[in-house]
Order: sequence, then structure tokens, then C-alpha cells
Amino acid sequence: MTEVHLPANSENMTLIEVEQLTRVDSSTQQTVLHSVNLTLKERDRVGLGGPSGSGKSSLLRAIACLDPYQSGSLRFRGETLTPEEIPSYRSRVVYLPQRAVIFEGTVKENLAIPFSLRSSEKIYDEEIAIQQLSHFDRNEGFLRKNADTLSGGEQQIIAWIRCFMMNPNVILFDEPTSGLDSDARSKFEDAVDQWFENPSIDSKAFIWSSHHADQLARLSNRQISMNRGKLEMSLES
Amino acid sequence: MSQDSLLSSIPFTPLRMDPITIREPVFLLGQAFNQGAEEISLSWMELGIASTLLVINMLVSLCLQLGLAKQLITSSFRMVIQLTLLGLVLKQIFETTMMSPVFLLAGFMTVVAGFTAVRRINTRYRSIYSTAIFSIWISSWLVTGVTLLAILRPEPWYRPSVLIPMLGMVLGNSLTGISLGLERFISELKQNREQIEGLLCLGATRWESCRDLMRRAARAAMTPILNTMSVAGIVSIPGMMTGQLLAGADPMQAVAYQIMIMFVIAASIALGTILALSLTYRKVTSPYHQIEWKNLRAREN
Repeated sequence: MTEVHLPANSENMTLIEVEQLTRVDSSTQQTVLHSVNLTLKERDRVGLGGPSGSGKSSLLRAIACLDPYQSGSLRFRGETLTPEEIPSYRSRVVYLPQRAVIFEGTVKENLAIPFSLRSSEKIYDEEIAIQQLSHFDRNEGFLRKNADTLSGGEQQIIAWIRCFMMNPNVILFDEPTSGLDSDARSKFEDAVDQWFENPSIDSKAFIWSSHHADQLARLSNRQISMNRGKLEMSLES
Repeated sequence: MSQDSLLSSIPFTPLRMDPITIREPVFLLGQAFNQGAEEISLSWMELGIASTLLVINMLVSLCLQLGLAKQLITSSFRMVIQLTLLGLVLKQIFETTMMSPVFLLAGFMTVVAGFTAVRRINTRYRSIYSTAIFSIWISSWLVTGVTLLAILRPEPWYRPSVLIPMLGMVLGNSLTGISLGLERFISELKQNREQIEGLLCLGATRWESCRDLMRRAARAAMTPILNTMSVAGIVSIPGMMTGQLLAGADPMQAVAYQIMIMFVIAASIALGTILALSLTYRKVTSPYHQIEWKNLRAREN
């Protein structure tokens, strides 16, 4: 049983449709994704559970088009992506890896990177950065810090703010709080909540993968689970 | 520039001494030998004395237990045999007026250079050999061709005593550049996997995600020749010029040659590196703006 039907939510538009997606890792010849079907609609807060190595990251990476897949399809707003559309798709559907990716330079330079890319339609707005930083009890001076020297937790906060500033439709969270202490974790969850509930930006959804059932229950309005590359069950919370 | 040994070996090999057709005011390689300048020729006996200098190296290696003694002997023997064979082949080739043997040797040298460029690269992709050979072929032959046809203009234009040493020098330097560039690009690609994918995740195109790596790799490839050019004449007298001076050439002419050679070499390295890097970039990325990690394999041996 690989097919997962998320509860119908007919008035909400479908953002992402994954159909029969199969991916075989060419170096190990292992099937990391077995005919996965998944539909993500606006306002979906999907919790993604499953043991380590079950394919949670592979699924999220596949949705972000980071790895080639052997068969199946991926549609965004009903359209199959052409190669040229992928960069701008990735700026609309952002994958946030477990370990924050930090580039050389200051915090500000790190936050500004997406806006220097060709796919970006927006400009860097420092007001938003400062407002987000204050949520994490950091002031403007934090922007001038060297991002390399920050702790893993602080780097994850930067990665989140950078993603938030891109104002994406979908965020694919890959165990984003696994390196955070409980205080930072709840601040992170709050920030995600606020982003999601902000009425000025509609058409949003996220998938959040985690080992912690309680976190998934807290954050999601529906849950799915991976096991050995298969999408197994659907729960409503 | 170890490749200079190719050209500086020329004074040791019996060059043809008959007058060379010269189109004024063009210099020809080997022209110096006809100018009656005092010439130092080496006998095998004298080379033997030079080889004893190697004993010092070996003593150092033995004392410090560097484990290099065996390698020193093997490399020295290889060098002597290769250069002797080269001398014999060059002697034959230089006497020919036919085009085919010249280009056969030139082609052989090019393919060997292409293979050598890949030798030190630990992570490879399937077509890395053809990429290296293609890049070195196009860049070296184009640059050597322009040099022969527009600058040196020997008669005939494929004159082996000019073409072979020129090509050899260009190939040797190109292969170092391509080797350094590819090595740097591939190893940094692997090391910076997170950053590169991080950029892709933020909406970067494949080019935007690799651009910095390409830049750093191109810089790595050009560094040796840039260093050589900036210290030429101050720290060292380049190998080719040394050879010409020892053979009794006029210093200003040797300088003119050396300047020309440096420019030619730099152009060839730049062209070859850009070709090799662009082809490699296309091999390791996909039109879907993904990095094809599966195409990168550790060398098998």
C-alpha cells in the first residue's frame, strides 16, 4: 500500500503533486523511494515521520528536485516543471536541510544571497530580517557577525530567516530543530507558526520531518510516514 | 617547468646544422646554432659526471630515511631513456620533409599529455580522459598553429624542428594547467557539496552554484604560469632560455623567444583550462540544475 490520500480539501488549491515517484540510488542500487504518491494543498501542515534511513530526506529532496528520479512525476500548481523553471520553483518551494548551510561572510551577506540570484524577483529587505531576529532575541548587531563562527543553533536560525525572507509557498523542513535546545526549538516552532498564520501571504504549505511524534502532533494538521522508501500511512491529528 | 627539459635537451641532441631558410626578420628556433657563436657541446662522459650529482640526493634520502632513493633511480633512468629516445626520434623526424610522421608524433604527444593530465586526479567521471585529451588537443594545436603560421613562419610551416619543440612545450604546460584546474574543481565540488546544494535550494541555477568553484579552479590552473611570468628573469632564467644561452645564442634573441613562449604558453593554458572546466561542468551538472553526484567516482586502482 503505497498510495496516500490526504483528506480532501477541495476549496484549497493543489500546490504539489507527486505521482508514482521512484528513485534508485545509482551508487548503492537501493530503491530509496518506491512509487510515492503525495498531494500537498494550500494550508497543509504535513508532519512526516518514520525511522532514520526510511527515505524522509530523500522524499523532501525529490520534491525540491535535487536528485534525479527514475520514474514518476512531480507537478507544481498542476504543471510539470521544465528545466528552466526549476531555479524559480526552488525559490518557491524551499528545502531546509537538517544542517544549516552557511556561506562565508557575515550574517547579513548570508541572508542576502537568495536575492542576488537570477531567479529572485524580490529585493533584500533588512526590516524583515531585523524583525525576525528580534523574535529570536537577537538585535541588529547580529547581522554584522561572521556567520562561520556562530553555533549550529544560531546557524539554523539564520537559515530559517533566509528562507522566511524569500517568502516561499512551500517549505520542506528536514528535521530542522534536531540541533536546537528546547528553548530555541519552541521559538523556531513559533516563528514557523507565525509565518504560516500570517494572513497577508496566502497559498502556503509545509512538510516537516521529525523523529518526535509530539512535535509532529503539535505542528501538523495531517501526518504521513515513510518506511523503507514507501509512504505508509495517513493520520489526521 | 619540467617540460622545458624537452627544449633544453635540444642542444644536447645533434641538431641539423645546415642553413635554415629564414624570412626576415623572423627568428627561428635553432637559428643560434648557425651564428658561429661559441658553442658548448656535451659529451656522454660529461653527462656521466652530471649524473653523479644525483648521488647527493640519494645520500640525503638514505640519511633522512625518506624512502625516495629507489624512486630517484627509477625516475632518473626513465628520464634518461625517454630523452635519449626523444633525441633519436627527433633526429629522424627533423630530417623528414613529409607531413605525416610529424603529425603522427605530434598526435602521440598530445594523447600522452591528455592521459597525463588526468593521472593525478583522484575523483573522476567517465569521460574525463576524452575531456582532457580534447581540451589539450584543441588548445595546444590552435595556439601552436597560430604561433607557427603567424609568428615563427618556418619553411615549410610544419617544419618538425620548430613544430615539435614548440608543441611539446605548450603541451607540457597545458597539461599541468588542465590537471590542476580539474583537480581543484572536482575536489572542491565534493568538499563543498552542502554549500552547492544549499545554493541550488535557494533558487540558484547550476551555473550560479558552480561559478565560484569554476573561478577558483581556473585561478589554480593559471597560478604556476602567472608565478613563472612574474619572477622570470629575477629568480630564474627559464629553462628554454637557459638552453639557448648555453648553446651560445644571443641573449636578446633568447629573451625574445622566451617572451613569445611565455605568452603562447599562457594562452594555451587559459584556453585548455576553460575548455576542460566547461566540459567537466556540463558532465557533473544536469539541465535540471542538479549536481550529478553519481557521475563522480573515486579512481579505481
